Amino acid sequence: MAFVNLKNKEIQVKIVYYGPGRGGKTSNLEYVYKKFAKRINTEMVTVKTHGDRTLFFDFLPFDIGIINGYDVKIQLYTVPGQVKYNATRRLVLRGVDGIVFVADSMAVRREKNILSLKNLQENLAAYKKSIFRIPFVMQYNKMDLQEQGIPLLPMPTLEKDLNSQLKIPSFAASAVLGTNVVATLKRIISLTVASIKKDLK
Amino acid sequence: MADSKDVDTLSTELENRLDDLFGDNNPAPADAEDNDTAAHYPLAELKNLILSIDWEITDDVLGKLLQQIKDLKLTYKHDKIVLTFLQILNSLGGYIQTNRAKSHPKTFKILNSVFSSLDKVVLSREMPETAKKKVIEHLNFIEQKLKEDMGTMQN
Amino acid sequence: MSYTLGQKQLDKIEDILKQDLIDNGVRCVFLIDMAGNIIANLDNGEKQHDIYSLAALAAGNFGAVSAMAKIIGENEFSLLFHKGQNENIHFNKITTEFLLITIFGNDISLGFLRLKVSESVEQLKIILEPLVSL
Repeated sequence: MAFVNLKNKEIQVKIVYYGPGRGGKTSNLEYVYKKFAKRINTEMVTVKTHGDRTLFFDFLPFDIGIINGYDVKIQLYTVPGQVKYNATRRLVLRGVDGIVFVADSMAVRREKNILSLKNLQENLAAYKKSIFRIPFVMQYNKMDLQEQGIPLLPMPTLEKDLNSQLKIPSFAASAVLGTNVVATLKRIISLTVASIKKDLK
Repeated sequence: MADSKDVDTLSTELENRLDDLFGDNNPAPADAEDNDTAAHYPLAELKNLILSIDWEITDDVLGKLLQQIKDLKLTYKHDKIVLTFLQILNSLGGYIQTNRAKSHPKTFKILNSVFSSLDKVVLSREMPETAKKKVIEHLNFIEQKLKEDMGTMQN
Repeated sequence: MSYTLGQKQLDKIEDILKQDLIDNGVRCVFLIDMAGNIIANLDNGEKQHDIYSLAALAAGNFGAVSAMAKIIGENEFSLLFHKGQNENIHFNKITTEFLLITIFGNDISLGFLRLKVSESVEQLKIILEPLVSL
């Protein structure tokens, strides 16, 4: 739940990057952190396993500056993708304002994407939130693997599997190279802030 | 191969030893270093209560503390040093009970250090007269200072 | 979905935190919600921590510990406290939505801190409870 501080003229907003394990959620944040290092004064918090998999969450606070007189502070989080960390994913989703689903475009991950999206829907429902009503952007990640000859799911398939009912903005991306990482982020921020403004009226 | 008689002797000896260690009057096995600890440590309950206060302050614990101090005062009624310590602890306990969250933050540190000193005194059986005199003087000074400070703290 | 706090409410919150806690030797105190948003934070001027990271981790930590409590059949734990060599950290829930986190040195006893925190929580509840029903 976003918090509006009328005293400091500040809005704090929570955006969570969700998706199957090893899909690129952490890579998205790492790219943002590198690219905007000058803007971001703090370290990125990562709680990882020894094998470099996200264990608890990654966290990156991002101040996008003043909009309409309010200082908008975005807190970016990722969740651990591995199936066994569902309880943790649910925790991190608490109070979420906007979601980016980072799907893994590799053909072998088709099933995992679908299961992860379903899992997101269930976890949101636990907080009485509907996946259809929350600010939401879809990202089809790992497009860079095409060049390496790794079979990827074609766009129409991805859209049909994951976006046929949601009908939300989607981006083909490569978190590792940075392609459309910022575009995804910009879109989710504007959707989320718009939703809060509507709330405040 | 052990002779059955040897085994019997061993069993008896073992049983005797175990009786010595875990007999009715000795609640704990004797320490290799200090045989006196087999006897009941008189400040055990007081220590528990003081440690509890470090973690949580409730009416229950404070009540038990003051009662325990009262009981110990009887036990040590002929020991001037210990009595003085107990007096100070009693004042501190009463102050905390009355003032609770409004107590001066330092009170708890003082409570702990007074108990710690009392602990040392009780554990060290032999104390030379001169040292005893010094301790009594020092304690009287602390008691006076606390009376003054707590008077101002209450404001 | 969002919630708002106005100048008067935030001023009152800061007053409570300052008088009850900072003025009694607490090094740093922050009030957050369970999503990790920071509502108020005060420190005694000595050390500046990365409070955004602390807030995110604190909310996550508290959430994780609460989930563990439920698994073992407890409604919640009455004490969440981490002891360090020089600095300690204490968590206290306020209603179901907020957390008060205090960082303090060894010059304050935990028992005393818990008394002070209870007092603060009673006062903060008055301001925060109306928000929870939203």
